[in-house]
Amino acid sequence: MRIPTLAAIALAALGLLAIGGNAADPAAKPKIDPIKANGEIFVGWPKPEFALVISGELDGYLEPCGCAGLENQMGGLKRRETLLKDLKAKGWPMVNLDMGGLVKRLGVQSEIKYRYALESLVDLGYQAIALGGRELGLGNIDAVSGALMNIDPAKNPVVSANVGIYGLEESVEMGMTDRFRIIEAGGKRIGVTSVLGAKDQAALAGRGDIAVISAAAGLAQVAPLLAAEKCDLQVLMVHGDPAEATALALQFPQFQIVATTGGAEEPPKTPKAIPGSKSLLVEAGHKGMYVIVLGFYADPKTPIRYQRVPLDARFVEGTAMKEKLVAYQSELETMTLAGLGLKPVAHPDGEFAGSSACADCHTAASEVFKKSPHAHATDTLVKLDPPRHFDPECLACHVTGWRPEEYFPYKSGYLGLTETPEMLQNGCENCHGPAADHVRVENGEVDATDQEKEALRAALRMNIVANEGNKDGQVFEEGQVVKNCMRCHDLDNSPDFDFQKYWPAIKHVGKLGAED
Amino acid sequence: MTGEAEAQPPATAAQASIDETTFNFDKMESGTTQQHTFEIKNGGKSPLDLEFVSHTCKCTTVELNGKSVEPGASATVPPSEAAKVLLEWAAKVPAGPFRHGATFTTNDPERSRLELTVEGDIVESTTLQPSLLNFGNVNVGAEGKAEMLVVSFFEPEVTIESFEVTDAKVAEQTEVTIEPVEKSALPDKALAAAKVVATFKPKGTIGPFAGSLKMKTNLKRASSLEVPVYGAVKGDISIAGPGWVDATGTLRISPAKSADGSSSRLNVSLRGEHAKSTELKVASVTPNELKASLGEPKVIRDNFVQIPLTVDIPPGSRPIVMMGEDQGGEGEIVLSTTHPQTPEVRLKVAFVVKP
Repeated sequence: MRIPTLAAIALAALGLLAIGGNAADPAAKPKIDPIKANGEIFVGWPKPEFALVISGELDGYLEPCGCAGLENQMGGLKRRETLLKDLKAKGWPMVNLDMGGLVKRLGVQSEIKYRYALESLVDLGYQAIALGGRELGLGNIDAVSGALMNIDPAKNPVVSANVGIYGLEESVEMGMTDRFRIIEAGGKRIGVTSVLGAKDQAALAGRGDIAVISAAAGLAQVAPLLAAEKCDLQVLMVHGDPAEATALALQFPQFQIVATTGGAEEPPKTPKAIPGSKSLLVEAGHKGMYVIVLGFYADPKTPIRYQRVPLDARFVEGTAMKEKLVAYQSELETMTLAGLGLKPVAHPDGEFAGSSACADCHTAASEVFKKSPHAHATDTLVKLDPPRHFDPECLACHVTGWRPEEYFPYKSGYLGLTETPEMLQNGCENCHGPAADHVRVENGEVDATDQEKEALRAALRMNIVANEGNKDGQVFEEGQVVKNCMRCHDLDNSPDFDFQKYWPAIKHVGKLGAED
Repeated sequence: MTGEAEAQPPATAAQASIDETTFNFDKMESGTTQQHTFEIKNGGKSPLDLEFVSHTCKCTTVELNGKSVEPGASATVPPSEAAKVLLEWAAKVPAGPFRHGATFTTNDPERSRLELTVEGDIVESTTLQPSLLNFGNVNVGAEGKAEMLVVSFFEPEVTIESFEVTDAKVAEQTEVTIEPVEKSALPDKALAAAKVVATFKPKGTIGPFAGSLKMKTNLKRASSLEVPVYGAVKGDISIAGPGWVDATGTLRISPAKSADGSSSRLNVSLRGEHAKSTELKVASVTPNELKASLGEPKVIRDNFVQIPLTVDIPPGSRPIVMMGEDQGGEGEIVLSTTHPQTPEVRLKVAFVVKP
């Protein structure tokens, strides 16, 4: 999960600058009206007989996707809670379905996150949740089974026609999954099942702790059982891709609604009718930014209405999911970095010294740094509600001495507010590289020849090549500076990042006058 | 069924008319950029006002009548004339389906919003399917197996010229072989592939393992590849559940208030030939603030049994800090077993009871 970070800090800094009269701040942008930007929802909808809410591929984004300022971000379970409460308050009979893919990464933090995401969906009233490839791919399947077995069996919504934890039958017998579920809403019976697609099955090849049969074989077993339930509607969730879902819809025409993962990040404006069938293909996008709502009506002219719901800032934050997030962050704190399996690894270029060591000599550059958002990156995490300074996915870009893309610390990098106070904030060495050897040599703690001294200095110097930047027409591949920035200033977390606009705000020169 | 927008403009007002609102670019290679121009005509009798209100991704930029614009930009189209909206999108996202676009509002009363979309597939020249070698749980005494395909969509042959498992400990337990892939077994639209088959043979150490497999290939666009290798070795007796840190054998419990207490549920897994015959008992628990109890064994298979282990801090327990070596030490639960090689399992417990 990511939280408002560098770009958000940049916006905060912008606010201060704007008060001071500097209207040329690079991160300046107008406040977005979410309804104007993303459109009104449920326009002209009468109350449906019942409604399906379809989500999927949360990808670990318990909170809105990105760090670009909450008002600009989409998604998050807190907003989803509000949507579901609003629809329930309108008296709509709801059937909440998720296609799986609750997490995306591996490791202990993802195992914990899977449990929280699953429990959150149960708390939100989800009645069917598919098993996705990523959760099954978590290395420690016992963590997955533990999460499933800790759910009250009467409320456990996890469903799969072709996958079982430990074994297809064992998974059902132990109450972890069911092959299909029958849900009653608005006086109707809705039958739901799910399958794991071929691509995700391939990723599980050789795994003895997960039982998988092909999607078609699983449905061949389950479809007759579902048909015998005399449902008013049958729904198939395919954790696969649209092409596979389409083929399964044609092979098993009893499913009027076929929901699929594996589509684009943004779901389509309308569902697709599957040619040669009476089924509708529904995608829900990635990262929990949207959910799809299908309203069902007795009206033969308009039996189904479709709404792609952008989970934007129009939805206030739900309190139950906020509490869940607080508990999640608390568990990360309790586990500690070591308990999360994060063992510091050696940086190939040496150890970190901390920004205060740099400031001893590079005074002018340090003054610029201190005025930049980078200089209070950790403080931002501490001030958040709940604080995120125990969350490796946030720490990676908010402290000194971590690998941003993979969320782990380097040896001598940040380990905690009190353990490594010199590694707070997004310090000089995150761009320039670890400088402990350089500092030791310059301070005379270690003997070195002039040549060795200069080599250490040169290794930390950064050269911006002509026209280096991340926009079209600028030089990207040949340079190293912008690539380094973009390890944190990525599309999710700093979508407005434009090096050539941002650099003047933090432009600094080193002791010798070079831009180092 | 209804969608999100339908249009039937009256003749006297501004009328936004467009041949297509979605452009399908089919396929494009990752890292490249494409453009498409949409033409919005005014078929009405009054000027058509257009305002660009949002785009769904910063990877998609917008030009309105030849000028690069940001949300908030507007243009007026006289009757019978047209505005040109150019969308340019960069495939700087992972391979897979792509859909993004831009939304305009108009003063056409029947078509107040126009959502212009580009969609298609981003393809990589080379893909790894799956993108890592994940062994999952590997039992001591058994072997784990993981496979992946190195797939090329642009070059006719894939050869893995050399490979190396980077972590020394993982390397000594891992065997890697490269197998050819028949044309008939190639993924859709692929020109060639090689199959990487890895076998993990545990040599004693229990717990998670991670490393990577570095490969040199003949592929011009992917001459060097590095994929994560991942898994966990399980002994005959293992523990899992919320707060359990396998690497240190510690249950870390979130701070509990004395009045509330807390309850943690773990699962003890028994694997191997002695799984069904092994019995467990709680032999000792220290300090007194901790209580431990074992539930009914669940026989999952002949060689796999799970037993719930509940660790309680009863409400009313005295305030205490036991969070590690320098913070009051740790509690301990000792389970005695009838397993021939493992007579005892010790669990450390780190916890705090607050007043």
